[in-house]
Amino acid sequence: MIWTELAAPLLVILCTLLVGSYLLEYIHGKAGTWLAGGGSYGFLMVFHRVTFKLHQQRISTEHPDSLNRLLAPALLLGLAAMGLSVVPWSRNFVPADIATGIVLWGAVEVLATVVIFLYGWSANAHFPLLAGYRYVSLGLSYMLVSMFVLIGVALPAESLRISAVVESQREVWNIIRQPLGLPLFLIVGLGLTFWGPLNFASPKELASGVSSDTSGPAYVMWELARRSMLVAFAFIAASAFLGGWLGPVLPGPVWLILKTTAVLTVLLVVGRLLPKISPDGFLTLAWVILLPLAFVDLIWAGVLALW
Amino acid sequence: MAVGLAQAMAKRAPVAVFAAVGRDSDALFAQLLLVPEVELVTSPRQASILLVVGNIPRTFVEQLETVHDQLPHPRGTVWWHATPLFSFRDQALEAVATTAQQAALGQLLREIQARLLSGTRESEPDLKSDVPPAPWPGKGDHGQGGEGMMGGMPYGRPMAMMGPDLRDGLQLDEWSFSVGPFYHALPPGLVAHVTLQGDVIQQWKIHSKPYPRSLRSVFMEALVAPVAIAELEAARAHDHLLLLARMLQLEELESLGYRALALAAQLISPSTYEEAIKSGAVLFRLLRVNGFLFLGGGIGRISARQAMDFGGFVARALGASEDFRNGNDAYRKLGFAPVCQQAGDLQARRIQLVAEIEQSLMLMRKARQSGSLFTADRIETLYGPLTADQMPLDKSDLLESLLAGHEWGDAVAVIGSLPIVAVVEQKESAA
Amino acid sequence: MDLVVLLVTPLFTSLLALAILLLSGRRNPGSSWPQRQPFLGGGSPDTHAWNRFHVRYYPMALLLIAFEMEMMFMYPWAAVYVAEGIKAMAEMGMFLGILSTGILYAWREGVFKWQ
Repeated sequence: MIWTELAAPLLVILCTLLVGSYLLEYIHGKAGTWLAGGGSYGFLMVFHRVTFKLHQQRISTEHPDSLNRLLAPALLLGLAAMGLSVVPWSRNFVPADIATGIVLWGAVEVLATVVIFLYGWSANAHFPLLAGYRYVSLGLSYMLVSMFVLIGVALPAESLRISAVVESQREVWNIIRQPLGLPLFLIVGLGLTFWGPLNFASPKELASGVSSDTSGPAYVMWELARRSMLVAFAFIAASAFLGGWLGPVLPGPVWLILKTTAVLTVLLVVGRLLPKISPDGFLTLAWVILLPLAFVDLIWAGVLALW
Repeated sequence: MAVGLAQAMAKRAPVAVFAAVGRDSDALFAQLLLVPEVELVTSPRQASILLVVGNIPRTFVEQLETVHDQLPHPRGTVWWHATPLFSFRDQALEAVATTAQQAALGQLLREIQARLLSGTRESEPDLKSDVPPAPWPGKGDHGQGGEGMMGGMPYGRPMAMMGPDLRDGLQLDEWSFSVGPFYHALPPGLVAHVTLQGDVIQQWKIHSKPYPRSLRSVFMEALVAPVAIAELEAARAHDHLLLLARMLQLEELESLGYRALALAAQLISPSTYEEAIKSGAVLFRLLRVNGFLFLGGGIGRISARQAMDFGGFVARALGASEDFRNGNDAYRKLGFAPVCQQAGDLQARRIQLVAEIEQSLMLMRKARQSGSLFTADRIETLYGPLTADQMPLDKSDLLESLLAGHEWGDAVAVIGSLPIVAVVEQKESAA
Repeated sequence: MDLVVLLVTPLFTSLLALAILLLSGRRNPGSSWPQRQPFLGGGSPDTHAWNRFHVRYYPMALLLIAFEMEMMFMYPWAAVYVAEGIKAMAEMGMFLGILSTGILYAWREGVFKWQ
């Protein structure tokens, strides 16, 4: 019983995060070279870069908060694993099928904000701290959009359980029923992992922000944690909006992986294409445009559920 | 064996390089971004090789040593078109000769990285002495006593003291530091002392102006004798594209920045002008679509007086439609009409820059077919008007008043959009 | 059992990551003082980084807390919404409307600017 209910799901989650992060980086590199019209990105390039970084020395800064510096990447990875554990892979295989899966995902997002800020804070260096400070404003803003959109998804399912949300999409996927939901949720995903246009915590203008004083294995671990969070997010997005493991011919997990890959590809191409928004601009955008759109989405979902 | 395999894998990674840019090297730096084996990183912590591009003035030796020591082991230094400022005993000094091209540079970097990984090349030791920057020497025997609230400096450096905030006079801690000559987001050579409250700049004092640049010879030739308009416009587009690539990279648009640089590289020799026009079309279509030209409104607005100092596309972004090519017969036949924007802020400058590059490419294409020539006593360049007795001057003092009150990211974007460096005569021809 | 999995998964993953970080740091040469200096493009800092700067977006955080409390009510509301019907929609609509005036007010007051 321990094997089927504890160890096997744990193994599945870890492998998914590792393989998912690798694939994500590969798709990111490929999207970059496609958009740049030049350069090349082989499949093993990620592996080469990672093994190289693992050979470098891990530098620390003057008087950092060493406990948090070590804990932050580990905790971010743990949060990603926790977020992924509520995703159903098939009718029978859900690592942790709790009745409040959506609430858990909200908690994961909030705690991720805390952890990312702590990482910038713990370095006791100027650029990381600036980047962490800017990230918190982003983190507080996208939280609400994400929660309203997920509650909208929970309405037809009459439950907060993610497997119930997937079951409620048997006739029609939520991306068709609630068209505003997935685009808003994708923006949240970009913000959660400070990717692309919402890269407040690791931007070029701050010499890679929270990572500007990280080197070697610590850098690999941080970037792995960040990408794992994006992978877990993509799984949740696929389950909540694209029908999760539902699909005609292929087995459930295969459908889930295909849908997640589609979500990731869209996110990564958009991340490469759109320019960075300034914190000021994003604050206004999130509260004045995105949040009312989330309200509209919720009202739409409510009306449709009672129809 | 596993170690050997891991090392073999690691040797095939692209070389993570931190570029310390010196004088007369913007053309080199633009080439560097196109070298496939090189991965330019923004922080020396993620690099393994410090690449010094162009000569570094003696005044910045200490800063270069600081950056060098910030690289993690195993590390090495390569001097490209630069005289070496430090060397280590028992080590081959990697000074790359002036005739080295990109491919040779890529190979050399790969080789050095491989040797560093396998241990055949020693990692370079620290250049500065291993003492804490501000030790905590309280007065007593056990470190107690001394001045300040803590009786010393417990976190390695002095504590930040309070200061008024520009926005509402609130007195909270303000932190200050000097941003050095090797910061990639600023023009190379610019040293500024910045005071921040949170991430809003309170004060920006220039300690050292950025290195002056030199223009391509076709601009100087146009002052004395007729030159082919195609060549002149290609050179203008090239300079503008380097600025655009810079701006795109600051906006996290690395792929589009790469496109802009590849396009600029195609504009160097006439044989690739045709491909340049085609790739230019793709780049501009992407820029229209992705919203780059919609951002930046209201930031970095300069006054009319300051815009006059700048000249060039900056002045035209404020509505001063003076363009020295206007009124010239050859240009009129090619269908030239000056473009200008009204707002004079960051967004207007971006729109103007993209519009002028497109215009230059269009003029270049038409001029190739018609073979028109042009000469005048005032030439339009990226940095402003060029005349026989006056080269564009350095305008970085403007930043002190312009940047106060801006958020850090906005301030960096504003600096990226203003061509503030001075122009000097080219001393010797670059290889 | 679900809760056990939920607890063990992040704990195990974090501990694994922590172990990897600590083990990889063991054959690390320690960082020397010149290596530890914060990266500022070659420049030097006058002060250490930790200081008391004003978190300018705290009014936005207050607004966020108001909406978070609404979200707390919406979680169970979402589960029983279809069963309760129009009444539930009306109630939540009123709640949302009242809080939205908060957003309008905050926008007018300039809370969403970076000042």
